[in-house]
Amino acid sequence: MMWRLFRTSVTVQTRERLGLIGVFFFSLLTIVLFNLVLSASVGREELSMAAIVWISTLLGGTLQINRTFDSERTNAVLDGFRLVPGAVTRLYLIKFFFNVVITTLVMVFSTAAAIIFFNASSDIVSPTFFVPMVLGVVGYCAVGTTFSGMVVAHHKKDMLLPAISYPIVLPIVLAVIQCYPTGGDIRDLLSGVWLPLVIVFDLVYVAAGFMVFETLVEE
Amino acid sequence: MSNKWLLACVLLLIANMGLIFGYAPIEEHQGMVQKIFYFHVASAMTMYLGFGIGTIASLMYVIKRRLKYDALAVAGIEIGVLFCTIVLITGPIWAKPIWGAWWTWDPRLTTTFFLWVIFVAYFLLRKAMVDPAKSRLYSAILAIFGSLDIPIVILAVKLWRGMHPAVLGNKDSMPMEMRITLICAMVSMLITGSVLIRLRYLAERRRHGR
Repeated sequence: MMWRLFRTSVTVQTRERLGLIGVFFFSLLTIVLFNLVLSASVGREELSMAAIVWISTLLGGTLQINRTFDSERTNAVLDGFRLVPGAVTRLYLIKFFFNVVITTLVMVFSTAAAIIFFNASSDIVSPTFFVPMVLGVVGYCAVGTTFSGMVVAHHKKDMLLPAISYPIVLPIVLAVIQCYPTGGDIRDLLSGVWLPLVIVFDLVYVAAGFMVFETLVEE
Repeated sequence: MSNKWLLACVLLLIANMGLIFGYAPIEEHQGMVQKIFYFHVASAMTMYLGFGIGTIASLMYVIKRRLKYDALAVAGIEIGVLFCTIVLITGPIWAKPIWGAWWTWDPRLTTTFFLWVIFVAYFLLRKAMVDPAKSRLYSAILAIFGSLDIPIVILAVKLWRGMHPAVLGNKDSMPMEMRITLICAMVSMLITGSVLIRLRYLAERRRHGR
């Protein structure tokens, strides 16, 4: 019986090639993500906290973004929104804002947990520590909220959403962690190259998400 | 008809190989492995052609919703991913004997890798969607999002890793034979890429029953 069950599982898994490919693709993206974030902190203890908190925020934020439209899936709620002019766009803005708030809370929680478990100094808690990550969260949530609308009804959305959103946000993942070696205050960050790049990313993708979301939901 | 075009491309590539191995000199410091350069750079040019066509066609599809634009987007991006994969394979093969490592997060390879993951995600999304109309629209939007990312990726990677090391030294020091071979390689690869895009486009149109 065990052998038969095993053979059935193998058959089912190999038929669902997309799922298998998605798993390996996600694994590759995770390796890249960790490399981009953690390589900045190699040999630099003061950056390792930022790297750990940023990775944790991204992963926690993914879980949050994945459930963005769960409540609208049932009872044709999204169909109801389509009937009211402008309602879909407002829905996107509210969902995006909510995702930013929750993911920012995840970031704060991760910081506290990291300070406790890594026995780190609480001196790191400052605007300079949080501002780049908050701006990174804005850009990530802009992309994620839009893509969450695409995959809301898909049975593999847990795998699909990170697989399609992580490639787009890789530059902002890199840019946020590169803000940290600079030190100094917010003005120093703004006069550098990385924080302005994060801000540009945010502006581009918030605008793009705002413009395309209604088109997504209409289909 | 398509067989004649493919045969012409094969002959062009064979002639190109003749130039690479028979006409272009062996580079003084890198030796024979330097000849990967002709495939690598030419594939990169063709990759940008494919992605450029795919992105513009995706934008046209979102605006016009005509199936021909979707077919062109699929063709362009698929051939773009093919040549992108060639770049990502030839790059490390060249890098290993020269820099001693398969992967060094070199700016151009890193940018190419980021493009590869973006457009592989395009096909993941396309295959995942059961509804054909949603599949076309959502993948087109992902392609547009990806193309918006390209200048940000290029800038971020250049800032992160600095300029690409001058593998061949000063451009002016490249012998004329190498320059001619490189131009021929780029032209032949671009022609091959264009033919493949055209054939893929026609195949996709036939699939739609047009």
